[in-house]
Amino acid sequence: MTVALETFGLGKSYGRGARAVAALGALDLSIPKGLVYGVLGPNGAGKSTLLRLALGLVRPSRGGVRLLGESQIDARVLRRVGAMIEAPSLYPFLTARQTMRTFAHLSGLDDPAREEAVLERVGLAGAADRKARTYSMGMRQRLALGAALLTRPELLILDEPTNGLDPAGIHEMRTLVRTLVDREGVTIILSSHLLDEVQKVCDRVAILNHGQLVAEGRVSDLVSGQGGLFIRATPLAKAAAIIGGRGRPEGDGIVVTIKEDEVPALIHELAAAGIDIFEARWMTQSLERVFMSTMGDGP
Amino acid sequence: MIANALGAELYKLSRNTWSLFWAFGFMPVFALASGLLEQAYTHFTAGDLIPYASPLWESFSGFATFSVSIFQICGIAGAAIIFAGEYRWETWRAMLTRNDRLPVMLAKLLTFALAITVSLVLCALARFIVGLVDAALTHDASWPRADAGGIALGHLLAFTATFMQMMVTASFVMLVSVITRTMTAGIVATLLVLFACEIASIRGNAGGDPIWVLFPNIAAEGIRQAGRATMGDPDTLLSAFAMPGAAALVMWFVLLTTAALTLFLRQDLSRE
Repeated sequence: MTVALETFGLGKSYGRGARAVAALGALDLSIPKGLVYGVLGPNGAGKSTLLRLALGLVRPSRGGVRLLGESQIDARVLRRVGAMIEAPSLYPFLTARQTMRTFAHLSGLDDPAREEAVLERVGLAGAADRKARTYSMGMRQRLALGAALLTRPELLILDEPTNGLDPAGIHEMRTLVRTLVDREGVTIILSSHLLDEVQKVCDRVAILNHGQLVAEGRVSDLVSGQGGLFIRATPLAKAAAIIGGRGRPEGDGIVVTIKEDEVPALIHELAAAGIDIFEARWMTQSLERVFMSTMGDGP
Repeated sequence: MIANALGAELYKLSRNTWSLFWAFGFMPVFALASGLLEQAYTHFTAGDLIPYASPLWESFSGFATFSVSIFQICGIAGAAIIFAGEYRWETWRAMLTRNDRLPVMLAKLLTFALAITVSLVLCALARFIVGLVDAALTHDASWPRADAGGIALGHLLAFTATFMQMMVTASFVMLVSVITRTMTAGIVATLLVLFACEIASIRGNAGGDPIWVLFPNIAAEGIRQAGRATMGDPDTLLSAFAMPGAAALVMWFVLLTTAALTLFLRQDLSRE
């Protein structure tokens, strides 16, 4: 079984009749094991609904979901999953250590050493005896992540895991996510608004909009072939005439939309025409640009 | 699964110290403190109007501490913390990825049952201590006319009555909490309903029509009065209501719990 999460025509609507609001359309998605999978989309796109449906927190209006090969979403399969959905949900009156104990009880886990190790791993060992209500947002995020990691999950579902984290925390989170996947074989599904982070950490992504899947694939595939060549040259007007409709001005240069293997020929052509080239730089397409163009708001 | 959930609930409640005290610890302390103050005032200031003490009747009355709506407020708050806490702290989404809904809710019910049992026993013990202090002050004590078995059965019936009454209350809190997803509604709505029941059932305290046992307060009072009769008190108008009262309390508990569980099992936790 190589699929972590599969959905079949999965849909969710809230309300009834004419007032029904579709949070998720008929979604067909297959998320393979062994990678970091990003779920992207603007607010209200259906990301959290998808994750809640996957965890059995809400019931589908249509279609179905299979989690780690199981279509019956119960504690038997959920204990193989760690999850952190939306804002960290913690008991304000419990310390981090007591929070771990509570979730260990709930999961049928009796391994105090594991609880300590997890607190150490998420950087809360020094604050383990402080009550959660005194924690900053970043610390709460770490504690919720620790609770999700407690049972050594095969699959980790993280909804906006970098919310509230400072840049160092975001870097740590990215490192942790990659370590879990690359060294420990955990599969991670995460949703995030930080597209730059998603591009850095995810192997595949799905982009949702208005509850529909609008793009899906490997991050490298989505951003490749959509790059451009930035050229700064003199005289620029002459260069622009040679480049023609393939180029558009940007700053003090021109961005040329061509394939990467056509670049040497263009450089030769410009040089042969007596143009001085000061800079020729291949610009990789960012996931953010892909996202914005997919949303219909891009360049 | 239910053992895991119960372990987690008990652990969580035991660490929620202030809530635990006000919900389940305050009434025993209040029963002890108010009883001792009353005895001291009566003995040293007002004079002993009743020149003897009744420790076992005191402990019997201790089991009835939660019988009136205003005194149930602590237990209602405790039930709201247990049943509505996950909505308030938005922790369902963390809990229900570790355990199933049914065992989690049943564990909450068991946790409340255990906590209220301890609280009731402590209330009875507190009142027994008050009775002993009274005996020491008045140098005299009276004892129920029943034998040890009758006294034990009487206490058991008093405990059972209040325990069942509180379980009905808790199941109502559970239902309101699930429907409204708020702790405040669980407390306020329950208190208002109990108060309304007491007002509406005043005439039921005089006995008569068995229809009154549909009111949980009358049903529980019937069982308590059967306990009093077992301990030798002849003044028990409602003791004939004991069996139908017990049946009524069980019926209410089953109905309310089933409704709450059915709703909860089907509930979308898109928000808590």
